[in-house]
Amino acid sequence: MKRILIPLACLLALGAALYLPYMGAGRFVIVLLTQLAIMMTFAMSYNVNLGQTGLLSFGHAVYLGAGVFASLYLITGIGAGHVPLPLELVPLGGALAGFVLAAILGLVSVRRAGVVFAMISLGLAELAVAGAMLFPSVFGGERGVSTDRMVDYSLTGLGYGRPQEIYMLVLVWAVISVCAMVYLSRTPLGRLANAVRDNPQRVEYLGYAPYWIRFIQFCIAGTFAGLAGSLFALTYEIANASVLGIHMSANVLIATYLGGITYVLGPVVGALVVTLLEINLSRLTEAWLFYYGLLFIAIILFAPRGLTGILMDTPGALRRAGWGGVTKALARWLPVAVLIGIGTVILVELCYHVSNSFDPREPLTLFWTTISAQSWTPWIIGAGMLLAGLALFWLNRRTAIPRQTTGDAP
Amino acid sequence: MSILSITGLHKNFGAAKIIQGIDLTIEQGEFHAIIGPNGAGKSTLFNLISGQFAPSAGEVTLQGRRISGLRPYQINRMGLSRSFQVSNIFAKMSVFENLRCALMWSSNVGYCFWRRASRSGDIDTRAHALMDEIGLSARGTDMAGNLSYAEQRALEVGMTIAGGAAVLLFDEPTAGMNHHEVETFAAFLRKIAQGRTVMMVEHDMNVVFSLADRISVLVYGQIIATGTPETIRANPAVREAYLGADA
Repeated sequence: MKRILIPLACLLALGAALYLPYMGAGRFVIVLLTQLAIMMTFAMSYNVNLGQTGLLSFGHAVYLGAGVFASLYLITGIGAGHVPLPLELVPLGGALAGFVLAAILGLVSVRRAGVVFAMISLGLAELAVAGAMLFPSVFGGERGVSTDRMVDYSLTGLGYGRPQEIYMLVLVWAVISVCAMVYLSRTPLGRLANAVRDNPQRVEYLGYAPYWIRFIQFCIAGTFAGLAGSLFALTYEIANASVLGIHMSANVLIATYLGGITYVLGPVVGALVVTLLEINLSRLTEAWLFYYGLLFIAIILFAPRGLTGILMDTPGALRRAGWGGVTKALARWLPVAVLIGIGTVILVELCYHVSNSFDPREPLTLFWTTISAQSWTPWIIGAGMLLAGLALFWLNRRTAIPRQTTGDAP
Repeated sequence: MSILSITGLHKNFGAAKIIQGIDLTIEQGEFHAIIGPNGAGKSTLFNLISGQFAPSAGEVTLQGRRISGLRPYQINRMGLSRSFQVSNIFAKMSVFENLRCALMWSSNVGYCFWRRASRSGDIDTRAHALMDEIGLSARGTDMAGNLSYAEQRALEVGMTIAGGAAVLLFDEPTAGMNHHEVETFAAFLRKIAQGRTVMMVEHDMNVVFSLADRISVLVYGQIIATGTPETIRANPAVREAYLGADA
């Protein structure tokens, strides 16, 4: 039953998502969903390295960038009539670019995992950005490279000029990629990659070379990163060397971690949350990056298995605790969360207002009240709430029942 | 017929001569135990045979083919498999997945990424059979890291025998077990060893003398005696160098 229901639900969701433009979904929703689809593909490809194979990369955006620039030139080539390729198949070109680059750089970087691999990936990322800046004729320098995706050569007859049309193309490719990567995790290679992640030495004594397993996984991750880059190029039609950079790599790392690296579909959850935060929170407050960072730290500290881990654990925890237990826990922890949360927001917003706003004397609106950053009152209230929250947290911790250890009885 | 033969094996780490000329042949189907005091070089000998280190001199041949100097995965493919003193399993994967990974190379699936693992030949059937053999059928879906110590040791042995290797090396299989567990585990090892060629390093003398067909005594990187349990027990040099210290 479960085997049929889950794919069916996925197909229905995909159908609904594809139908959205016809239901008159606004431009904002479409742009958001397009960005989400790109991020989802990119984060999933990142987790082929990190969660599946145990390769912590600080330079995954290099392969995204390879796909971006290859696709930008490919689209221009199609438009000029040099390349006989329909626009729908451009992502294959991006994937090929990502694969080739990953195959070359992978040879030198996957010999060791852990810190060695992480440092090499960081070095390669810096090298790639510096290299791209050296060749403004290819990478366009600060201004970047741009193209026009209306090439009049497509399989479906769509012109892909409107965001709604490109959204459908991006979505289909993103879903294909995510499915392919989920499938990969169930193949012998995917299982062996998990084994290499847990214990490379043992794998070597089972007849497999950990190096090759890492290398193939690394190439696959690069391929899908290149494909994601292609989707990026198709959507935005412009990019400069900053897409290769450490900022982009850090962003995908954070998204993947937030979602949960131990789950195959964790990165999809992470991409969803990060994209929504990026678009919605940034419209609400200038300090959104600060909150984003706080969320990341909170997840690392309190839920190392990510948001997916929280989602997966919640039903079981609810069943174990029962309604009484849940009410009790809420009564204990909700005030803590509210006090710390609101106190932090008040202080952060006041700080940002004082240091960043046009005129600090101007009143600001916070939680539907107009306050002045010049008076002491809001500062004292914010600090008071934060301190009270922290004190309550400490008190709760002290009076908590010692956690049961789940070890084997002697 | 000898299946594994070691000739003139030496290993130096810098100035330290750990293995100083070992000659040893293991016969097809025998259970051969290596004993010796701490620091005699037993683990180093296993690491040399299995490919963890390359020998400084001498050679090891498996079924007539030279294996010394090859990588561990190459040696494993040629038919030699080993277990470890410290449980060396995939802690965050299920027991079933652990065994399946151990079966993959011998099932000819290679580095396949276009077919599901469960659809790759009879690999699932073999994994289930193996799970029965090592007595972990009830724990198939549990994470290997959550098993009890003795269960992890059994899984370790299961992964070692999975590929159907011609020669098995067991490195202190009962290390860290209590008395009761050792007894159960020795019976388990006896069952496993049937029809297989086994070389074992072991500290527990009861286990060694009850299981081994032949015993070699390693002292300061040299084998001072090889023979049946009775001859080893009676050998005065062995008594002096090793057993004597125990008594």
